[in-house]
Amino acid sequence: MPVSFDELVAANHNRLHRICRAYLPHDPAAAQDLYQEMLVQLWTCLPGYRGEAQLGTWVYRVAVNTALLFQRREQRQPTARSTSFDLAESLPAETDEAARALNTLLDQLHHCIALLPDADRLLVSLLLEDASYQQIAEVLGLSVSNVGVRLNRLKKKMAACVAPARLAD
Amino acid sequence: MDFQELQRSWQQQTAPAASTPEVGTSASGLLAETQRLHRLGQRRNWLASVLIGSALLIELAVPVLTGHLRTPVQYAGVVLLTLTLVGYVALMWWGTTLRRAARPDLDSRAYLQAALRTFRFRRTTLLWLAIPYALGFGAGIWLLNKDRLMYAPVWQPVLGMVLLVGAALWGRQVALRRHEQQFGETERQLLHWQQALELKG
Repeated sequence: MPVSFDELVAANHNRLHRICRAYLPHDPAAAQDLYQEMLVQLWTCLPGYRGEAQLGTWVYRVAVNTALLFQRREQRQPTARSTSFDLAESLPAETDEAARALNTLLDQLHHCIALLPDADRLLVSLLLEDASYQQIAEVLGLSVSNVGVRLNRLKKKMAACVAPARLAD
Repeated sequence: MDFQELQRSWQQQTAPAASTPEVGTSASGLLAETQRLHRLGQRRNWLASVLIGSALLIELAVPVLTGHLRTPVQYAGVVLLTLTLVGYVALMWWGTTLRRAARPDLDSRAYLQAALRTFRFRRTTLLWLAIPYALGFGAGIWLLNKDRLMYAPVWQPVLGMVLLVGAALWGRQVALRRHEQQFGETERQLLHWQQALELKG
């Protein structure tokens, strides 16, 4: 089934943006560049999409592979620790209190992601997008059991990193 | 902390509206430009193939048309030149095929392997084939002009060959340095990624 580029972007642009920010947590400008690069690659590869993989998995593959090569071309010096501010600007704020709590949690989450090695940052971003183990294994080209061990470790690591901050609040 | 709660919170983040490309904006112009560059790259190989093919055809046709048939040695020179140039064009096409095979919609492991294969191919051809090409080209020219060159002082063809190989060596050094500047870091980082995936996976 042919997929239009506009529809593809409309359905995935938030997701792609979050992956970029997770992968390049110290450099929002580079994350924006990476996002644009992902769009170019999606656009270039889309005519070759034959539906062998689920569209969501296919988009993740292009996004992850673009990120792998992007960092190599754009070696950047990290800037100051960034927060989720530019993404959180448009968070649906039911109440001020709820919005503040969510912002704090997201800040902490971004901080914890930034502490991870680059490969793990990509994996965590896929996990946080609710990609299944099967999907992530297909994206990486590894077995589900291999991926599962690593993802379970990452989940625990993330939960342990975020929990103390939550308790402090 | 429940991981699902983290997922829910994470997914509430939305991208700034300005990052969505719209038709008719600079983003769509960028995409059109990318397509143009892709087409340009594809045409380069065809152009080189057509030019080299035409040159060889002319080289073969002129003696027949003018009645100045070549000697067997000259034909050997033509064959050597042909093989050298055809080999060069074949490698250009092979390099393009390898580059195309590194599609970002492969799984990451296959993508890394394909991308690394492209870099290795480029480095290997630069490293090992520049001199054989120069020698093949030089020998072909010499055989083609043997009737004239055999009466010239020995130092002339020797000097010609030395200059040719020297130019090939210099060109190889320049190309290798440029390759290192452009892709060296990329190649090392891809290897790092490959190890990170294989070992930790």
